[in-house]
Amino acid sequence: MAAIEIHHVSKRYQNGTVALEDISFCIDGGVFGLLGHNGAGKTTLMKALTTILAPSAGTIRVCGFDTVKQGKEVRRRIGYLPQELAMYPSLTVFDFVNYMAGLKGIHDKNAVYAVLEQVEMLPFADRKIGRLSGGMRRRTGIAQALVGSPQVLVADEPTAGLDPEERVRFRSVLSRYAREGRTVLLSTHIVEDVYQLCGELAVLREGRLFYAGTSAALMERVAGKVKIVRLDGEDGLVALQKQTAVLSAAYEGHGISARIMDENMAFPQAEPAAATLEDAYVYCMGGKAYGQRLINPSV
Amino acid sequence: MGSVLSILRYEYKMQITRIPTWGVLLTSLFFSLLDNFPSGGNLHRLEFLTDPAYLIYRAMSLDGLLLAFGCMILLSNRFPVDQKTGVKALIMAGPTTKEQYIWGKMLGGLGYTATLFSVFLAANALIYILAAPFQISAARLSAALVKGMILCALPVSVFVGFVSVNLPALMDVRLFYAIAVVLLMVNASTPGTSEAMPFYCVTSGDLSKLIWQHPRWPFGSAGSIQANLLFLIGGGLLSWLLLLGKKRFWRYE
Repeated sequence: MAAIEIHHVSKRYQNGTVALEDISFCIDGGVFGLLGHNGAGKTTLMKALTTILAPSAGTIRVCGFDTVKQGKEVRRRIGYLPQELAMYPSLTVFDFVNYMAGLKGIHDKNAVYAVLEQVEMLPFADRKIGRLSGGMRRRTGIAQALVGSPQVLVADEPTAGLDPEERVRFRSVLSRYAREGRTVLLSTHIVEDVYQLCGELAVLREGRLFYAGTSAALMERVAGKVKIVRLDGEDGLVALQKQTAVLSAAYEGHGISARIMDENMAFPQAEPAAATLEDAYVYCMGGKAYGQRLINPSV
Repeated sequence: MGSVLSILRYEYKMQITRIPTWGVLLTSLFFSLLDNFPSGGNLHRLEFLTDPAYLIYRAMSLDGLLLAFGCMILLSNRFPVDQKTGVKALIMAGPTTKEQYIWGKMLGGLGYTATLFSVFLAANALIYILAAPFQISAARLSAALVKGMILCALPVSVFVGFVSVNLPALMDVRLFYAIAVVLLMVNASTPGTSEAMPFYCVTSGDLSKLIWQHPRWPFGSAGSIQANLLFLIGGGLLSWLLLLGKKRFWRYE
């Protein structure tokens, strides 16, 4: 039984917006990445998984329980870190996590202290949330999600806006948690986090599933096709964009170094480059002329 | 039940430790003391100020209105702040039900308002005992204080605590502020009388006449007292029912 099963899920809001369209994939365990640009439908999918929203069509099962028909059972097994979580500034770190623990039926202070230690917030337990840095607030947020050791942890953009040190710390917390036999679903638009943490991922674009499978397989699809073209100026870049997919452009000294996707080998003289997950992701997110639906045939 | 108690506990804690809470309480106490302090001038102006029950009645019915209004404003953000801080999404993703969530907030508001009214009345009583230049019957004062807290402050706290928490979740908070101001103005401009007071008087309704009665015109309208009680408690419960029935307040269920 997969930890999370998503079958033909669609979500249409009352105003007609289609946030998700026929999404299907499974998550067996470990840390699973959900990539997509802003407005791709990641948060909607997170909310459907955590039973806050009901899908318009399709089913979602978490630990074998249907999120619509057995929501109570699902909620017992998940921890959720929403994208925007400011918390109560007047409560201390301990008080807030203890409050959330109480709502989950956990009245053991030691359990609260244990999760605070896990996220390295124990020394700040008596500090008011309003006086914490952004990174510390996120760690407090993840602490309340971890209390009770839920089987599935759903984290929506947990590292957005964090400095590199905090992001590394966060990754360590999430990977340690997944190693204990639990499942972490990490929704983000930061490709580096997915590359560091996730063996498998799904890519959403405009509410549709663009890819579901391993990071390695996605990178394999663009392997050998990524090249670097050196240009003199903007005019060259504009001309290049008309010929092929430009993944990124870096302004270096007097020129521009452009990473391109050379599918048709039209640039044999260009410098080959090792494909990264970011290249593959940017390629997925490219315009209609370049994007193609890359679906793992096993899904 | 555990969820309700958790929400109640932390709602109460957050509200009671806010600085504006103590600002509202001290302001109400200040105006109450201006009016009721047993100084020569006040004793001359207020014929019955030597009666401790009259002090409690007056503090509750007149100056208590300011405290009630202050509590209404301070409690109005309880649901909106959860939406704004993302806490509501957290709670919805957990085992707490909609009913538990609403009751926890309401009871937190009730406890908060009742605490402030109790402190307000007790502070008035204490200053009165310490400053009065005449003998005071401790038994009469204690009885008036208990009547004030149970028969008057508690129903007022139900109204203020429930309505102020629930209505802003049903409407734009600015509309709620406007309603609160209108209610304050209507109450403040309704003069006290030995006849039956309108049922919509929050602190100066006929419930307050259970604390003290005018010796020359003893009050006797049980119907009016019941109407006042029904308005206060019924109003609070009605706000709860309205919120309970609101679609799209909670998860899809």
